[in-house]
Amino acid sequence: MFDFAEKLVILKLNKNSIKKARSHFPIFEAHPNLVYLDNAATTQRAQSVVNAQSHFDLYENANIHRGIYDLSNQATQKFENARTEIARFLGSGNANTVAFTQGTTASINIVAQSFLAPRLQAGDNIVTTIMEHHANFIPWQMLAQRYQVELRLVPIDKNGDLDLVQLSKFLDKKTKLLAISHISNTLGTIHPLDEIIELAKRKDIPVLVDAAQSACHFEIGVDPLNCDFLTFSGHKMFGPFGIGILQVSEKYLADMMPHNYGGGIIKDVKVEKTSFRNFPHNLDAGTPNVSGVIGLAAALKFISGIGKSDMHSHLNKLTLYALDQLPQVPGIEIIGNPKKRIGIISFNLKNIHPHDIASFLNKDGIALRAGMHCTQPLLNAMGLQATARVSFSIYNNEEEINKLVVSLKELMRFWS
Amino acid sequence: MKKQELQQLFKNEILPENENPYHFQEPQRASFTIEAYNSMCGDKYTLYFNINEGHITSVYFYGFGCALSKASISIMCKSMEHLSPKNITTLSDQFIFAMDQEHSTENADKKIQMLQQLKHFDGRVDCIKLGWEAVKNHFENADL
Repeated sequence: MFDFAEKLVILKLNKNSIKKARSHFPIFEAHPNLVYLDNAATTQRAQSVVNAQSHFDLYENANIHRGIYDLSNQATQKFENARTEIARFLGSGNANTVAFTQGTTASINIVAQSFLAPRLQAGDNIVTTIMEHHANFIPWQMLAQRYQVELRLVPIDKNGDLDLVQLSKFLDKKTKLLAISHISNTLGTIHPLDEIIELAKRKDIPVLVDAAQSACHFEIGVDPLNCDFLTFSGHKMFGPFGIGILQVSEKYLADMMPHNYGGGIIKDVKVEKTSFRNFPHNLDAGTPNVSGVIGLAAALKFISGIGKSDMHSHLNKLTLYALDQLPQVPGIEIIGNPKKRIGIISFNLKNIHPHDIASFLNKDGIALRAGMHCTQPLLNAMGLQATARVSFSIYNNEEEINKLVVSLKELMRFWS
Repeated sequence: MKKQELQQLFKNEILPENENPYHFQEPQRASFTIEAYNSMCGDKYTLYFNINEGHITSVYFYGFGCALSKASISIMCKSMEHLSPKNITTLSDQFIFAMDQEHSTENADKKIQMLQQLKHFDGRVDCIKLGWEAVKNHFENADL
């Protein structure tokens, strides 16, 4: 099990401490030479997360909120304790602001259907940006088409920074939501959320933040960020697949309507009419992913044990190091040059398609992403068809970036 | 596939086809076009077919994609010229079938045979099938 007393030691960039960081992730025992640079897609699973989940599954399993017997009561208590711990992780003392979902995509869709759809009228608008992941784009596009609402897309400049002047102009009396990511999953751009959210709040516009790429290493939460809806996924922060969070500000808790109907969310069911529990319990129709919730709570505990600021600083160092080293590769083009960027770098090599890059680097044990990264509008706006992408986490180190550079150089030599 | 095998494959088969693809241009006219698009990766080609008296007289293609998808479509275009639409349907059917099946399937065309032998190329089979599937879908739904 992870010894939290060792938390700070593991992040120093010397060989011993990196070995310790990696030692919490059994995947590297199975693949000792793996250079895993696809963390924006999913991070590896920490041993403590797997332990927490399997302990529940093997020794504590029972359905929650259902039984009178001890095992069910204990499972319910563990489930609700996890909600409290996650709220605390998000800087909130109110566990009832936290709903469990299947992930970021599900959380955003719930806001679209449960909160926003009932408020929309023809002529309203929704503001988001050209650089969003499809998960934070298509739900709004669908609503816009269905309710004759305008979808306003904040453009970017050539560096990959948002046009904040245009964003400010887009926000008006008819804006029913501003939906924005914290960090671009393709360019790694860190959006200036303080400034952006302030613009929306001046006009009393609710704000949704997609924190899928930032939840691991930024202080997030509807209170710390002053937003209204916060969404993220467990599997991008060392946790399990299929579990995520939707946190809602107290201001809008009463506006969150059930979107999925069934058992577990009701106050009273009559033939004529059903009345529902309040958020977050009105979202949990059916049996929730209990062991996933317990795994997520363990992942957040793991992160807290290490310390977000140390993780942030480690990712920042790796990003700067990669940006310094990658230009040595002949024919490389780093995509974008945003003012603030962390953890994610997209690039292209002259005359070599990203898929071919990924295939060749795979043979050197390097796992990276190639394609459109679920950001077609962004790539179209930048005149790109695809990119290769590397993304870092706590178990990566400078030596791995050196290996990446060597492999890319060799590929360029081979190709030419 | 080991790294050395991958390098040999690309050096001997894929890169020559990728660098000198067959009929890789937008022709001035075409009897009909087919879009081959992989929305997961962004590979996108337009295939241009000219037909005369029941036979395909020329096939051109143009667009963006990886070395594998481009090489595969190049080989496909060359193999489909002078065939009837019905034979093109059969050829594309057989190719997709060969790529999807465990057992090996012979093909007289050595380049098509080379492509079919890549059916276990992890993560890249869709690249190889991209153009062929687009053609198969088009001709299956066409009124021949």
